[in-house]
Amino acid sequence: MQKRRVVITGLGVVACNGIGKDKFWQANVDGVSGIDRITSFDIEGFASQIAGQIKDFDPALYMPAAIVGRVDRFVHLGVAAAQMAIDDSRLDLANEDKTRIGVVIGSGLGGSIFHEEQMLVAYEKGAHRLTPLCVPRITPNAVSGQIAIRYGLLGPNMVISTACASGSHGIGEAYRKMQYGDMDICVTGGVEATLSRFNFGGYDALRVLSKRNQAPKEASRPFDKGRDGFVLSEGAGLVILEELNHALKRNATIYAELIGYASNSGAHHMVMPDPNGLDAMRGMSDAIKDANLKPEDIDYINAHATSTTANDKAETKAIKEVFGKRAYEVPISATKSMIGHTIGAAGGIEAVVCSLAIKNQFIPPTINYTDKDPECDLDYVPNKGRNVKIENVLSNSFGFGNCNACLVFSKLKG
Amino acid sequence: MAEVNVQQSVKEVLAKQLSIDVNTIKIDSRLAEDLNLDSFGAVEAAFALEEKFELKISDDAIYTAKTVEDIVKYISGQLSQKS
Repeated sequence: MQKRRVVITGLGVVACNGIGKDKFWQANVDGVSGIDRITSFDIEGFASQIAGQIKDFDPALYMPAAIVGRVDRFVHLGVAAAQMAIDDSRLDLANEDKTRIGVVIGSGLGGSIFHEEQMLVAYEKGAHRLTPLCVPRITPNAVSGQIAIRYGLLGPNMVISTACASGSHGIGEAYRKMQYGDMDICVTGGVEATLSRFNFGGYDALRVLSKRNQAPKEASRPFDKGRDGFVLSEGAGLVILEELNHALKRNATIYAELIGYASNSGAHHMVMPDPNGLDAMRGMSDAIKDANLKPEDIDYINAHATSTTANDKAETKAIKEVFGKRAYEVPISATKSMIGHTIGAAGGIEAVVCSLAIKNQFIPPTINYTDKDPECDLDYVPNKGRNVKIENVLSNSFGFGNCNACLVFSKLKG
Repeated sequence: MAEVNVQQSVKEVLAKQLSIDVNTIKIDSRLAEDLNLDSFGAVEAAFALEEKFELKISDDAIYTAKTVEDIVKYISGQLSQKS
């Protein structure tokens, strides 16, 4: 069976360094960080007090006010990104077969901010004060459900939860479904609202967050010798995947083609990556193979690169194993240096970055790179982006629990 | 509390729950048909009214009320029993 080809024809993004693909891309080109002191909840007592909080976001611009008050923030972010991606694709939904349009979203935490609020209600005000909307607001598939309801999308609908790899898993699994003909169009990517006292506190308790509180914009510094943890962020990055002929027939703008996907587990530890990077290695190799490419065909790697000591070292090691000599030549960048780590949204936001990198033939930088770590000695496109010829891009996502997903994007070839 | 004040408070709670202008709500507005208040919204509005008037609204009352006036009458009745 000939697998069908799948392209990206719409982008929607809500991130701390830019809302909407144009502002977001400009920030990435210019190396602008969106990290700052947290203002959305009480940070008293936490070691880390900084985050990628989206401060100028009004959900009412993207959905009716009555819906705004009935859903968790992660749905606000997701529905907004979906609206942007659908608008950007110029799909005329009224004239599409909606049974052929799906929604597959990655989210690590679901509606956990509302969950936290209602826990307090149950304990402080009593069980009879729990709203009947608890379950439909908290459930992780609230986001795929709300997007489907809003646009009447009747195809496959699901949320995939694999921590920091959720977004890439969402796109990868949607891609497979489209290759095999389960749907023609899919709204897919990642969505996450991480910033509440309990949520943030959980990551703070893991001692994985940067404590560079006095210099928030310098805190996320992947591959730099002085890195001391990641910066927790919120956001959403969704793309419209479309079957190639469907896109060509309607003269759609094609950002990139999705040509490879692999997912696996390291089966090593719930938080630590395999220090030898074996699972990351296998993920990258398998995705490149799935794309019918060889490592030397990859022109840019959008690394997982969270800015933790262990991740960046293991990922560097894995890249060296997969790419050999080429590892020292292929540009690698860590856009989390500007956006922070949006957990389940990261793979989706990075898919938007990769699509725009291919469209614009430009690699965004790894900012805050000042001191070389002898164990991280590759070309991380430090501090300044680069115009280069880009055919094929590899995007890595490695989640807690060693859940890994790698995607390969390509410039559309005839 | 005079019934006219109860009426205004009920309208304000419903307006907030439904994210609509309070002036669009009339005493004879039908909750489901005119205001699009569904059962979830009705329960949440009842919570707000319970807190505002410091009384308990039964599930039966929530589900049998058809108009704004039904809610106002129920609350006024409960308040007069309390006093």
